Amino acid sequence: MDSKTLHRRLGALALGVAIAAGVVAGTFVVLPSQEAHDAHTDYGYVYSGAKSSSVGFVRANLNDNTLLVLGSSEFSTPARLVPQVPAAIMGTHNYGVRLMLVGEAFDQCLWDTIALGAMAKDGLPNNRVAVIVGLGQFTDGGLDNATFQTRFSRSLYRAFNANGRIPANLRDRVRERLAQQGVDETTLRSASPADPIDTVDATVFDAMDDLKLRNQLNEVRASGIPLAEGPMETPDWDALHEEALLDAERMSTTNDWGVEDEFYTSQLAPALGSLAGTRASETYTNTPEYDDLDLFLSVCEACGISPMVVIQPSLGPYYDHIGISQQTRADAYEHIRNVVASHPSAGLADFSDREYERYFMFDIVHFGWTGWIEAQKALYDFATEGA
Amino acid sequence: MARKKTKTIRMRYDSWLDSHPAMACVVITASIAVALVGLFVFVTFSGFGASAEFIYNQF
Repeated sequence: MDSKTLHRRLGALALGVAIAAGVVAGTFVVLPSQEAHDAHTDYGYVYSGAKSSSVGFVRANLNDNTLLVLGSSEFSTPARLVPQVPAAIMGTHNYGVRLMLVGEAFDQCLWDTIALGAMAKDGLPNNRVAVIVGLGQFTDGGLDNATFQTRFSRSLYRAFNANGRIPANLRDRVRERLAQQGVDETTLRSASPADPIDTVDATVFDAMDDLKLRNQLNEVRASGIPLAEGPMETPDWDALHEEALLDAERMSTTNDWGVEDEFYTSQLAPALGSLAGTRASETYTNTPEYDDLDLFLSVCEACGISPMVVIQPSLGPYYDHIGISQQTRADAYEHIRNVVASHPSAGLADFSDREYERYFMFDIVHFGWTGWIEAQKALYDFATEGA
Repeated sequence: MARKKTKTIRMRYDSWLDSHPAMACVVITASIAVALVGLFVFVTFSGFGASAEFIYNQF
């Protein structure tokens, strides 16, 4: 091949690379930014991993009256099953408080720590955050690595590391825990680059994470609900509680535990026989989750954020049935309370004494009709305290 | 009788490229662009390698 032909073909190759780079650059222009949203739509109640992982989208949708609430699968309960879920109560009334629910199933205290550190870099509205915890996340052995990695968000961890308020010892604790949960070294290093190779990794991963989130957020934008913008109302919690009881009596008719009919007949009843006594060895002691809760509260303190921990109970009769004694559960709740008490700035909304209250749960681990009303009252009181 | 030499596909391809220099450049440009854009779309948007969706089992 002569020199002229070689140069011509190299030029063609370079042009191909340039065209591809142009297409990639065009994708950044075409996809809406993470912050893009409709000002008259409320996305706070959308259950989404993409939303929960996007600091830009969440922060763009916070206003002075928003309370950031971290949690997990309880946010997925549809109003079809429990008409008292936050989207249907606080999302449809202008009570002067909006909730921004962040988290998905299996998001636990380590994930919450990273999310809080990422989202509170420049503070939060009224510098308050609530986090919902339940015994399910304190089971022996902790969260397995495979499941944790389905929920780990490099974007959040990158933003966490960019928060200068978090001291080195807390960053180190988070990094150690991530390594224990099997997050690879390249990912960890790319989230806080220390050398040129890390920086190259970080640049590429940042761009890809950004584009993925931009793409996934389109679905979130389509799932928002109209912002409750009418005249400000004062919630009548007693009336809402009465209404919740009526709904519960209508939707729980097949069992004595006050569990929702569809869940009971299709999932719980068929499994009960084989589950009797199967969890008798559970202690709720052999888990890093308590330390992770402590880590979360420590990061709150470092960021100047006042946290409130909401303890979501388990369904007492079911846990008795599978062999986890009331005393074992009481000890675990006490352990959680002790961790919270060791942080003077932390508040507590403790519903652990409601394990046997009919209709407080709609299944075995999630707030039900009256449970969600009481939880929202606690969140509302916390958000408006001193206001 | 001497056997007639048959050209391999590679030989035919090289010969075509040599006799169509402008088209060769277009093919190279298009191939590179499509390959890189395809790789980009696949890695960024396909979800390949992402964690499988799981059913939350309360039991």
